[in-house]
Amino acid sequence: MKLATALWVLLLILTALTTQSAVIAAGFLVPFVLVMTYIKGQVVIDHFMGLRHATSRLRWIVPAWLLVVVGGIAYTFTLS
Amino acid sequence: MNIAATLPASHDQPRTLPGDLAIWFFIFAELLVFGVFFLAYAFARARNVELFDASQLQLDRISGAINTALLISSSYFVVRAVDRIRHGASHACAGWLVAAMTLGGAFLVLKLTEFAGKFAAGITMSTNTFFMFYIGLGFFHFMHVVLGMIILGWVAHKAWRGGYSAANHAGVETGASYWHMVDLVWIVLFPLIYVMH
Amino acid sequence: MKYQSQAVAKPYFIAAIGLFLGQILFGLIMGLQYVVGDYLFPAIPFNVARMVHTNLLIVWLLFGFMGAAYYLIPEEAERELFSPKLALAMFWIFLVAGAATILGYLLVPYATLAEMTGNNILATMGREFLEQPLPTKVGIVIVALAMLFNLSMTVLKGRKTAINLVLLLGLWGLAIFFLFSFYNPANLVKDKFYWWWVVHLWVEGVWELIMGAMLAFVLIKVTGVDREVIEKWLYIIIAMALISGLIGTGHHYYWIGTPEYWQWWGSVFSAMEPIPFFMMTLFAFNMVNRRRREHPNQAAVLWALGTGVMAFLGAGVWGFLHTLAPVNFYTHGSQITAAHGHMAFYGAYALVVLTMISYTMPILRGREANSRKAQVVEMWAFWLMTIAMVFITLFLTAAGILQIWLQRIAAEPMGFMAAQDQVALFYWMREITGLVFFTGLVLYIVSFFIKGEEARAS
Repeated sequence: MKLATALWVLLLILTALTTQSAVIAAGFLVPFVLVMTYIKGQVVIDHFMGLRHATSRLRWIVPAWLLVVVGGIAYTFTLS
Repeated sequence: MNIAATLPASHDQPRTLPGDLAIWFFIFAELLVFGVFFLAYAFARARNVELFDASQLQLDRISGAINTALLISSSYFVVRAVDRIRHGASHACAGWLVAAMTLGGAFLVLKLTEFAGKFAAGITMSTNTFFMFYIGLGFFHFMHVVLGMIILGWVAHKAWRGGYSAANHAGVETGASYWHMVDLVWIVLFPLIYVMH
Repeated sequence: MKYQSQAVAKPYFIAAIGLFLGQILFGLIMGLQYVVGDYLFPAIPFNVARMVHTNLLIVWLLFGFMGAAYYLIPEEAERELFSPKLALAMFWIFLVAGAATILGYLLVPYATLAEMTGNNILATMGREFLEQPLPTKVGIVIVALAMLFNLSMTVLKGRKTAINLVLLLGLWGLAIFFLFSFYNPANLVKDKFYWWWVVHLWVEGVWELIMGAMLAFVLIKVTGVDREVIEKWLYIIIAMALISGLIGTGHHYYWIGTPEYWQWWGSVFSAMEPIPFFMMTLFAFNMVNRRRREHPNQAAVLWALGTGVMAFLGAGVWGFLHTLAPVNFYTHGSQITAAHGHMAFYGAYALVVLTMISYTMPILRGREANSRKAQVVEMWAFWLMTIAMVFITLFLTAAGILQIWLQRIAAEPMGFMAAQDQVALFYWMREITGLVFFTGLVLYIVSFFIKGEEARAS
């Protein structure tokens, strides 16, 4: 449970960073926020949902979803 | 870029997907719908950047951030609840679940306040494409929080009455998995709609 | 059969098949009127033939659902039906009301029928599929409520399984959503808005629950696969059907005066609607492959597999074809819609009812399965009807594509009737294929009268 608590604090810090990203990372806001989001999502998937220790053949679906969604969003921000 | 890989593995034994397999298919379907909507938003935005950026400025980013913190914390509480029931502590499990639901309730109140402000300002789904997504996706997610709370409430009630044990607690994991999904979706939704421009 | 009261299903099924025959006859008449405009005019004008064709479809499917429910619920609940007499009384009421309504359509001009039946008291008539006069609509509600009371009491006192609960939920939904047929606002936009709450929420919502439950029931019986496995599939399928289907209603809200956001909501959610149908295909084949016994009624297995495939093609693929708003901008209300409508209704609902009939009728007639000979004829009927329906769909799709091109895309767009003349060849081909379908249906009916030694499990 110590790990979970540490991750919880980490997630809160990352959320604060995301919220203040306009100030912290003015020049590279989009990649910064996307990386934060990807880390947060992966932490929730691995440790809260517990898929890191699942043995099912289906366990790749949720991480793949995160990758596709974050990657797709990143792509659209290169269009404009 | 996988930070989790660098962290020490937990003491848990390898096992199949937590909870009932059926809930996972449900979760996959939900993620698919949300994923399609997120990408639709992103592509619609790329075609109309000025409108999206201007409209986004009208959002209350702090309210969105607090809501993110609330959902993340409630997700953490649910992790604690699952840990408790693995040790056979039914009442502690129910307690953590109620705490998680309380934060979920706070999320709903804050979200409603946000929506009320927008409606009072005359903003609806028909205002423009940005607000169509903001209100539509927000409301769709809102309904998932409500459903998640109903599931958690049902599990908490059963846990309190001793319906689960250290050996048999798939129901708790089922509810927990759904709740984490609701959290995960919001983790993407918040930066996408409130922050990135 | 296990319970005496299951026998009430039999008259329902017989009536369903009879009305099915009527539906196809009127389909043929109407198909000919597409190309020979004054055929049977003024006795049966096109609009009347169309109304009879679609109304008979709905009514025979309802008969089929009811019969299936009266058979399935007692067996799943493991007790006799609460009141077989009530079920039988409702059968006669429904049959008489249905027949009187169809005769009303045929014998009296529609406006006169409306006047005679109190449409001025509460205006409900004139909407596609819901043309029934007020007394008929009230009758449908009474019959449905009596049936739901009967079935719910049976389940309440008996065993509750995923299958009978899902079926009951679907039937309750069917009755509740029908109530929107009594609300007919004068505003045309609002009218359409609520009209879809009956039509769409039936066929792309609660009927899918009914279909899933019936298919699961037959698959348990003919494959012997564990109930637990089948129930899990059923839960997933209905969850997907409801997620995609409810908000998917939005794909009917394009270009009719509703807010623009429906183009997004309708497109995204209805694009998911093929998923539950695809899962039904996987479900049917997966269960049959894992079968633990060779059921002597191989015809029923064929109908079940056919349902899985044709429902996915008709409802899933042909639905997806024109569900996205940018595509629908061109295809709206064209022959593409007719193509989808034909294959979806046949593949999903006609076939699932026929699956249920194929499995239960031999049992209702006192044997586990029909003779080999009868089954061979029945299978021929399946293939003739199914292949004919595939071709009807393809011809209508071709007609639709040409129609859209000539009427809506070409540099100098044609008028509606001029475009219709150009696609007449496809209508002729559709009509000929319709005759093949009719032949299949006749063979199907003949198969009930073929005797011979009962087939045994191999």
